Amino acid sequence: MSDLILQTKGLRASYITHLYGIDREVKVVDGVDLSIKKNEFFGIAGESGCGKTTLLKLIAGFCKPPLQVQAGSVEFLGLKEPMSLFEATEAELYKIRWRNISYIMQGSMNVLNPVRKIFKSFEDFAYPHMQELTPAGFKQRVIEHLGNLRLSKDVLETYPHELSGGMRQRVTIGLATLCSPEIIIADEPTTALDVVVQRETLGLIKRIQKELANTIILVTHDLAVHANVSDRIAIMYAGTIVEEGKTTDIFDRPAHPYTQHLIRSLPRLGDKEKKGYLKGAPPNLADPPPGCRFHPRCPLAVDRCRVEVPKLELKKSGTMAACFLAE
Amino acid sequence: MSETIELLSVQNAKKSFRLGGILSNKEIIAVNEVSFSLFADKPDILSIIGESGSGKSTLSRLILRLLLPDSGSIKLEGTDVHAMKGRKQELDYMRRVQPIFQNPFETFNPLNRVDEFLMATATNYFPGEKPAQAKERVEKALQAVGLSLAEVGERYPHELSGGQLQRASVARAIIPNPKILVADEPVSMVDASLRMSIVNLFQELKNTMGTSIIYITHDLATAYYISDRIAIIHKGYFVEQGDTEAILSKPKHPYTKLLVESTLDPRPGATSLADGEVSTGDEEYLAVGCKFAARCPRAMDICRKVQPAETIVGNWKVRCHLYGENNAS
Repeated sequence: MSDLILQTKGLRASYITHLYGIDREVKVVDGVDLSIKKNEFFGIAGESGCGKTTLLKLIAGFCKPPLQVQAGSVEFLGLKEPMSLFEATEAELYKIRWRNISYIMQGSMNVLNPVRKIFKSFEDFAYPHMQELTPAGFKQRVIEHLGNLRLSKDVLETYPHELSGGMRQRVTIGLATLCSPEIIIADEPTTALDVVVQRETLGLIKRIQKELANTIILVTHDLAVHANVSDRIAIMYAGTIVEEGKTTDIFDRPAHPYTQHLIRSLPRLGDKEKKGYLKGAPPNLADPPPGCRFHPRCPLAVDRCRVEVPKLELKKSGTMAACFLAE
Repeated sequence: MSETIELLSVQNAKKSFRLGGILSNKEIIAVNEVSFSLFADKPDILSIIGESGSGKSTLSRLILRLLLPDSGSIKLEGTDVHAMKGRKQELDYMRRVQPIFQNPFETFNPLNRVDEFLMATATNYFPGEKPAQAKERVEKALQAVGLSLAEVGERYPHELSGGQLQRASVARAIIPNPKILVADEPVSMVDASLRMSIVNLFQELKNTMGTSIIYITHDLATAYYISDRIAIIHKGYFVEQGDTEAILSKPKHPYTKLLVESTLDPRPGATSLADGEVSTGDEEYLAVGCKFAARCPRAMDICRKVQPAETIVGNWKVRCHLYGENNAS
């Protein structure tokens, strides 16, 4: 099992609030097992509110109230000893953050500090984790690194608002990759970008992953992005993973009805065939349906789906799917 | 030229905004020399494709008469928008041209019930009608989008799903029986599993109610899926417009080619991901000549000096020197 970099086991977490005497529990991640390999581009897909961002927070070891972990673990395997992120102290987590696990945020104005020049942001984010370098050495390193991302060093002396959306996103990618971390978590990194810039940015992220030979965990709702960059993908629905497998297998032979629907309804240039859609809406996670969480919308649901929760199992198609009906 | 009646006719419309403070004389022309028409007897879905900052939202505001053009004309059923004065004529315009907004959660007042909001819309557009008649109109509009008053019930916006709410906001728009719907990025906030239901709905509205739809988006894939005609807008100019299938399968303008190449194909590995220079379109608005020349792989000297005119090449209009009179290719 030495080729794994991160593993979650039976991860279960909820947002728990006690407001005005009303207890509310939103079960947002429910029994997630992930094994993410070294040197892999791993994609997580799902609709808004399916728990994908919460899952990312847990993977990064961020767990503050009202989010509470009820069961399961997240283990980071990039160090000599496996490290359980929920048992680690704040100081230990601080050490691995940015150095070993870093984060590319959704490209927008609010990621970078609007009143600090770009280089100051580099100092704020990354320098505390690179104390072995002198200030001058650090700057040299940043300039070289940005050169690799095809950004000139003049960028360092500008404010975020002076840059275009694509350049800003390159800067945040630069920030996240400066320390060559083993894992980079990217949350909707290209969602706010135009199509032309999106393609360039994805090309850049893909190239960096090849150069660093590290792991990128990419979260986006856009399956067209996953089709073009991810090696493996996990499809999330209402807090659970319903299907996981190699990207080509998932796209060619989806086993779960939800995945099948998502892939069949993707619009594509040159395709005028009528696309269907699912009735209903994703469930309220404060009160999820019993059994398979997808059954109220599933066109194939049988009685068993309404009571029993399906497990993620290997299917004939070569993917892992949580569905009783898939063979 | 043709016998058909023009429903909406936009001729050389131009809208500019001043940049900077009162002493600055920099000007951005957000919509420039834009011309197109919709015809009353032939309902159409026209997609307007543009990236952020291309002027597509300004154009939608011009069509909705929220802004008036600086020059050129916009005519609805023969009457110029400048000639419409007073509340009555404004209301009359709004009745015929209705917007659908991007975020359904912002369309509705969170403190008002959805059905009450729809009822208020009906009484606004048809003042003096009895509540029962207004209710009938609302019910009819809701049924056209696949909902019903019973389903919407006495609920508040947050109690409906994003897909339902976007349907309700389409229902709101069709209450006054408009001739044109202007939908500015209507599906970008809707979940993937429900997105196609809204897109399919536009097609149904066109077929059953004869409504023309102006679908403004950055997404070529859904535009290809539903629209009959397409117009590509780049820095205020329509660079290419005509039949959707013809243009997207064989684009003529280099910018359209770039957009088509950049659209991700949802089949594994089908798109080649180039990691080139960062493209910035920031300075392009102020460029002299063709605004795309700086990024264009086939730019010539003339492109940097003279703005190309819209010419008919084959079956559609292109604005590019490569297809100019001297360069017929």
